[in-house]
Amino acid sequence: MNNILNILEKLGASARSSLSGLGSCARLFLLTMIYSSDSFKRFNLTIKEIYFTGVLSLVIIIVSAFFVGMVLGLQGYYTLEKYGSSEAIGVLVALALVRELGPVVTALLFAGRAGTAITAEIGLMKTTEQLSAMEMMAVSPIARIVAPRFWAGMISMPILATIFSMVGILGGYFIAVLIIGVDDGAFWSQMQANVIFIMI
Amino acid sequence: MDENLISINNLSFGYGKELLHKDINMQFNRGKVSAIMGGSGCGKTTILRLIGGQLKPNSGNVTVDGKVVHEQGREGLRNIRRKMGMLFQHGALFTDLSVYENVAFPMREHTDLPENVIKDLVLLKLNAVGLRGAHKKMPAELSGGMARRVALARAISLDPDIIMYDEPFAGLDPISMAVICDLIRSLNDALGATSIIVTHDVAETFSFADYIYFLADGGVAAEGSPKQLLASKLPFVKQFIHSEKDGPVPFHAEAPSYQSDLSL
Repeated sequence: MNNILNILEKLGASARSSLSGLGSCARLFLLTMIYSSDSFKRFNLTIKEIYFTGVLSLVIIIVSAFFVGMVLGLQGYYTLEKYGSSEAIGVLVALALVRELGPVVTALLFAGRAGTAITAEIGLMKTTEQLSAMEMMAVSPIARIVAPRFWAGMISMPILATIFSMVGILGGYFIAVLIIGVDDGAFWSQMQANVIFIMI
Repeated sequence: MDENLISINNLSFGYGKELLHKDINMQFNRGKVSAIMGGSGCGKTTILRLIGGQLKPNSGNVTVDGKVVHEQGREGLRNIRRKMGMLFQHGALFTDLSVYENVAFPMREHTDLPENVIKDLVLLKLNAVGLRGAHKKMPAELSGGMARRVALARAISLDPDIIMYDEPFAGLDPISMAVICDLIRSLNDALGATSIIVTHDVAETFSFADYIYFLADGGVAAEGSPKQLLASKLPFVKQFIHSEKDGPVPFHAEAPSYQSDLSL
């Protein structure tokens, strides 16, 4: 009986702690929204963060995108060639990148590069009492630290995803057209005809 | 005008269920340097956080200039905090900003002063702590004592009425310590501020504080001027001042008997 009670107790405790964790996340998000006006009023803070999270992530985004595009081009070509439709390689590369791989891989890379950098930075500020000091100076850390980083992410992510897709397509072009020798015109015109904005 | 700028009334506070402070009363007089002393973990820094409104008391209250801190809304708390400067234990300088920008930070956040006025003010504050020459440096390039002095310049950048110091002497060499001691006293008198120091350095504190509170066992164990405390016969105060290793504060933490722990 005691064992069952213990298990129930542990279950209850973990449910409560995950609920309260969820609650504090929601609270932080709400506060970030409330304080967001500050980060737009002083947009230079957000611009600085866009540089750190967005611009400095460009290298890793561009390199990965180029290689992902090349792999898609190469593997896609060999499969399509079996069915005699190797000209459709442009469509394949573009749709795969724009619809799926672009946003997802960019998000993963962004979380890996910018997300961890922000986490480490705020963690350091917390342990060295910089956030407390800011609070004591009557400056809200959420307005000054969290909101600009949040909006920097919101602004840079879609741009990075677009750049990822663009560079990926160039990678596919490089392999399929320049190396393998698929027809240049077919590559672009099929892509133009089949990648429609509404489908994305 | 009330003589006490800050007063702590019947305050109880605990982080969990157990109370850290039980029914504490303290008064901090205007223009004086008061010290809160006590062993590690007795809740000295917590008192500063309660005064700054970062924590809420379980019961009782803290008043600053007659206003109850924990009952203030966002705007009220902001107004109270604008009158305060706080020096954190390790300075808490913003690592991504230069010394100059660190000191300018409160001015930029709370005032609309033109850049040339900010520059003069920052250099004035840095000169007061003797570090005008280091204004271009980054916090990582400073020694512990210098960082503490820059943080002090930042704490006084808006000429606060109250300056709070959290362990200002921890980890400093004797020269830096003497410099900080001197600065605390001279800034307090020059700004006409009220200073509260949280520390456990007996010699330094007794040399310049006006009034000292000793915290122990969740309450105020003793209080008085340095002279009164030096003459005190209270066993805890004697043990603390003369750094005796055993006394009312035991060497051993509470534990079951040694034999039973070693299964003898």
